[in-house]
This record gives sequence, structure tokens and C-alpha cells, in this order.
Amino acid sequence: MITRKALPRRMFLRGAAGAGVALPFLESMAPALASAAASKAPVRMGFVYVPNGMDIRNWNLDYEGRLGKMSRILEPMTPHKEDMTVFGNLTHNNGRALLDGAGDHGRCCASYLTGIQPKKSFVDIKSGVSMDQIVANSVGQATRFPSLELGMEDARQAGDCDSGYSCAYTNNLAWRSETQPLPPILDPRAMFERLFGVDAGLEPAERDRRNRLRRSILDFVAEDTKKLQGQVGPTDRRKLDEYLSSIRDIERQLERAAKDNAQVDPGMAQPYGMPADFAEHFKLVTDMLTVALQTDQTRVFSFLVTREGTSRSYREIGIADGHHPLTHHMNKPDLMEKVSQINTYHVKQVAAWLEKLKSIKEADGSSLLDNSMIVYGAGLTDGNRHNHEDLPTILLGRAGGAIKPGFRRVYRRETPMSNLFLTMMDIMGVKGVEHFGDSSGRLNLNRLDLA
Amino acid sequence: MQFFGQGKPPVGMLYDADFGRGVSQALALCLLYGLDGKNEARVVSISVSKPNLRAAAAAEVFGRFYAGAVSGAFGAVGRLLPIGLADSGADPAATPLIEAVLKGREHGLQSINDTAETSPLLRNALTAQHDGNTLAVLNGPATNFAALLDLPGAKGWIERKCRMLVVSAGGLIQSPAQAEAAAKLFAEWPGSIVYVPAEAAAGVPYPGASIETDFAWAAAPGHPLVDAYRAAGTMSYDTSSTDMAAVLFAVREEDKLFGVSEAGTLSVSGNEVRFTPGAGGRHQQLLAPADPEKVKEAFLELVTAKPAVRTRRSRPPAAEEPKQSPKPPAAAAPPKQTP
Repeated sequence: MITRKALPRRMFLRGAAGAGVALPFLESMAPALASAAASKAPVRMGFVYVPNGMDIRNWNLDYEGRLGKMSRILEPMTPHKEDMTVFGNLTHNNGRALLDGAGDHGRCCASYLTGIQPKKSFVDIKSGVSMDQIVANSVGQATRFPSLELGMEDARQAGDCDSGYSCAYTNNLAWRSETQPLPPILDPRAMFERLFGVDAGLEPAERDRRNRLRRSILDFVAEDTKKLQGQVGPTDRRKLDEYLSSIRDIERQLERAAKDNAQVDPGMAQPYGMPADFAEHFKLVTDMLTVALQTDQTRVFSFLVTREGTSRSYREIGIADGHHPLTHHMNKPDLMEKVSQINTYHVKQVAAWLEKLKSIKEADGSSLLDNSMIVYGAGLTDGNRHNHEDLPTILLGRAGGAIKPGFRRVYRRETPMSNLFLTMMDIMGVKGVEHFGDSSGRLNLNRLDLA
Repeated sequence: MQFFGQGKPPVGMLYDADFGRGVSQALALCLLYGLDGKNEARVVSISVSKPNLRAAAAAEVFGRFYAGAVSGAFGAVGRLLPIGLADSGADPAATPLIEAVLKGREHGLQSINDTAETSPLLRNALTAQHDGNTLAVLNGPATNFAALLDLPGAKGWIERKCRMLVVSAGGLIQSPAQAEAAAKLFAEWPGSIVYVPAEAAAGVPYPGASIETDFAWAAAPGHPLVDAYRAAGTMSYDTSSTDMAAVLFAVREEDKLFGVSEAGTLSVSGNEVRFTPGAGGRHQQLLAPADPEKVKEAFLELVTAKPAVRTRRSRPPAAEEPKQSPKPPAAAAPPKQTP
């Protein structure tokens, strides 16, 4: 007779000062004779959005079917091609002007997850409930955070950011209601505190003082950690060590960023702990996001890498020009080359993150990436042409087996992106949604070709 | 990206046909591009109800002939649009006409994924038009338009954007499924419909002699209409102009080339279309022209028109930069008061 007592599935290491470290799934949490269904990991859904379209010549693959040689921009994804789906011909009609004139950057970002044409205004904003929030409303009660909204740049919510379109349109992906966007968390320290419950609600000056004297969150929960290590087997002990090390690594990244910021300009507007280097910043955000997903603190996220229409430069790779001006390259080869380099640089960061998602094993032995479906893409196709058909879109992961990746799947022209979102809602278990945005049906994610 | 000049552009045309069934749709399409070239109309959607990829490719050949392969982007300045294609339906076989058009001519439709599903294509085209500034012409079975009616929200767009649907008798009903589609169209289309019976244009056939003489200007491999016409029958023959009449009436309604009946209601009985006059009905029938010669002149003028170079309407030469404001406006304008 098996009598082993399982640890609770949702467990925190508790400590002083309100600290709480959520735990990933450990073998000791599974009842000895757990059913396969009970130990099956949940599916996580997310969106990683990059602005200003792509150098589409170097993004597109010239074939359909099983993935082989990657395009120049997608080349960093080569080790992950069996875990990704590359789409063709998905379109956001409501990103188009439709008589509203200029403002493709504002429109494409606001319509990306809502499928709705936003109202052209920088005062009276109106879009629609984004699909991630529909999913969050459906599955969010099972997790600590129904959804997480993350970003790395500007989060202004007012003012005119694109030809009469509010900054609320260019700077948010998620919309709770048609008039309420959900601004992304930009400050990595704030994200850390949200995840681990440290310093929440403190005044900035007090927080700063404590940060200077900061000990690791792991110090706060050391007693609980020691106790748990005595309760679990060697495999779980190793897994726990790896997990806690990853948290310590995040803390070091935050400390380094704070130090760098202080050296650059103590008075800078950047939030405390925001790394100046793009790659470091991306890694920090995605490391924390990974912890949130790994510990099932959320199953839904959106990540606006940089704001739509951004003119951020990429000195990290030797590009001093602004991203957005470069995309209006007028087919000048030197400018197009720089756009390609920026696009590739972004994809390179995602590829590195996928390594991490793959390395994290869940209860049933599958990886965190296996149980995810993450859309990576842009709301404009070609930043020079500002078009909205055949949007550069890839889907990462296999959604717990609902998706068979490793293919380029091309659909018919004008196929609404909203069809993909409707299908993703189905996979996430959302019931009763028959139509979303401008959808014309559901997308068959495992259908190779209609021809 | 769409750019429009000042004021309302010419009326946008949704054209749906079982392209390749006969030469009448090819003639109608040429007439439509003739109107487009004269800036009397803009072709904003072409869809094919014959479920055959090569039929769609043949339609695209005509688009390239008139517009050039300048742009495949929907809503772009160029006129080469995605071709909508039904993926099921009656009569899927290619015809000699289709093969004759495709022979020696380039097209961009290598697989069905190069075409668009018809309902989103038609809906998207409507969304880009000014209110009441769209006309729809149907030269074939009503299957594509009937399917559009089932797309959520589409009826609202039709009601708002489409001024009139003109349906020609030729090819409307050839099977029970097509009869059902026509009945649905007449019952549910949320706007006015004008039906063009065969007798309305019976007195104005298109003259085969024109094919022999009026297209010599086309450079090799020649005008696709000439090859289509020759492949569709033994030269020289005159052919039905019902489909052309539908396009001509739709765009030049104000010229009163054709008479129209009083209001009534269209319905389907068996394989026949019935028109029942009655006040309050949203439908009408086209009547025979009072002056057939004028209609014939218009047919010849438009079908034989050379491709016109369309100038860009308002795209500025310099790239537009998103305007960045460093901070929110000090005082926002008050919202408009509604009565």
C-alpha cells in the first residue's frame, strides 16, 4: 500500500517582510498514483509583439510545409524549428486605414489582440476587449495573476503618438474593456516585487533605502527552504536548487541593472532596475516571465517588446539610427540592411529564451515550451509599406499537444488573424465564443495546405 | 496602407462571377475595367464562384492586363487585388476559354492559397469604402454572396456601404443548390437589388466583328478577351450581353440607358426567378433599352478601351512619421455634443 503524502500543488516558500516564493511543480507534489490527467501541465498562452513590421524579404520563407532552411531573420530559430509554426497570409483588416487616414502604427497595435478598428482619437479612446483578456477571464481564476502585461519601453497612456491616435493605442496590447487598456509593467523591479511580494506598497524613497541594503529574497525564505529540502527526494532537491538559483540570477541581473543605471545617469527617467542593454533587458523580463509561467502564477501574458512606432536605436549592435525611421527605408539597401539586423537581433533574444523554456520540465516530463503557445510577430507586415496582410507571425510551442509544430502553414489570402485567436481561445478552454473581431471561422492549425 | 484624395472616390465595385463559364463574364469584366480606366468606378473586389483555380487565374490575367502586376496588396494603390475563389460548388471543370486565356500569359495563382476566401474578401472590401459608395454585380450563381450574408457583421456592412446589387440572369441558377443560394440572396440581402433578365439585353448582343477588328492594338500575346471569345465559340458570332448590361446599368444608372420596373420582390420558384410587383419592395427588374444603339455604343466604347494608367491619388513622396508628442495636451478639446 502506498502511503506517501504529497505536497500541495500550489505551494509557496514564506518568509519575513511579506516575501513569498512560488514553487514550480515538484514530483513530491504528485500523489503516488496520480492520473495522467491530474498531472498534465496547463497550457500557457502568450504574445510577444515587436513594432514597425519587418524587412519582409528577409523574414518570409519561400516554401510551405515542413520547416527546413530558415530565412535570414528567422535563422536564430533554427535549433527550435521543430517547436515552431510559421504562418503565411494572416491578415488584420482592422489595422488598415478603412478611411481613417494615416496612423497605421496606432491602429495595428490597438487592433492586434482586439481584432477591432480603434477609434481615431487621442482623447476619447475606444478599441475592444483583447483576446488575452477573454482567455484570462476564463482561466485566470486558477492562477495568482489572471494575466501579466509586460513591456520594455514607453508606457505613456495619453497624448498623440501617431497621426491622431492616442499613445494608449501604440503602448498597449491588452485591453480589459473597449476603453480600458492594461498598461504593461515596465520596471523589472516592480515585476519582481509583484511575483515575490517584497516591498509592495512602499514609498519610493523607503524602497530605495531597502534596495541598497537588500538581501536576497532567498534569505527571507531560507527557513522554509531548508524545511522543504528535508521533505523531498534527491530529484526534487536538485530541481529546487536549480529553480532557486534562477531566482538568484534574476536578482543579480536587477542589481547589475540598478548599478549600471546609476553610473549612466542618476537622474534618468528609466525605472529603477531597467537594464540599458536590450539583450540584458529582454533576458531579465523573460527570466521573470518564465518563473511566473513555471510556477503557474499565470497562464496568460502579453509582452510589448518596444512600443509601436518606436524610434529606439540599437547601439548594442552598432545601429545608432532610430528603428522607425529606418523602416521607412525607401528601398535603400543600407537602411534595409539595418532593419534586417534589428529584426534578427530581436529573434535572437527569443531563440535564447526558448532554450530556457525547453529546459524546464513539467510534471509529466514535457517541457514548459511544449505546454505553451506563444505568438511572436508584428502588427505591420512591411514597415516601409505599412501593409497589414501576410503579417509576420510565428507560433512557438505545441500547446500541450494541440498543435503540431515544425511547419510553415500558409492559409488563403485575407485570412483573418482573428481566426487564429479564435482557435487559440478554443485550445485554452474558453467556451461559447463563436466570433471574435473580424473572424470568419477557426484556423486549422494542423492543416498543411488547402491545395 | 490606403491613401485617398480629397472627396469621395469613384464608386467601388464588387464583381462576382462564375468566370470561365462563357465569354459573357469576360466581356463584362473588360467593360468593368473600361469603366475603372475612365475613373467612373473602381474595381475593389473580384471573386469567382466557379470552384476552379485556373478560372481564378484567368480572371487575374484580365486584372494584370488592365492594371499591370503593380501590386498584390489589398487596398493598395495598384489595382491588382486578391482574387476570391469559392472552394466548392457546381461545375468545377476548366473550360477551353480558361485555357485559352492562360496560354502564354503570366498569372500569380499557383495554389489555392494564392486566392482569398470570398466572404472575408468581400467584407474587407466593403469596410474600406465610403458609405453608400459601393455597387455589387453578380454574373453567376449567388453562392458567394449568399455565404457572405452568413459572415457575422456582414449584413451591416452591406447595408451601410452598398448602394445596389445588380444580378444578371445568366448563370444564376443551374442547380438546386444555386436556386437555394439565389432565394437566400433575394430574401436576406439588406439593400436594393436589380435583376437583369435575359430579355432586357436580348436586343443588344455583343458583335463578334468587334473581336476581329477592335483589339489589334494589344501587344503580344494579345488581348485575353480575343482568345477567350475565340475559344468560346466558332467565329464570328454575336453573344449575349446580359452580364455586360448588369455592369453598365450599375455604374451608369443615371444615364438611363435602360428602363427599370416598378418596385417589387424577387423570389425563386424551382429554377426560375420570379418578380412580383408591389409597393415597399426593395427589388426591381431591368427593362429593355429604349435606344439599343446607345447601349451598343457604350458596350463597344468600354470593352475595347485600352488599359489606363491610373495616377496615384494622394500618397506623399516622403514617408510619414508618426507624430510624437512629448506630453499630453494641456487641455483636451471637449467631446462633441450629440443632440
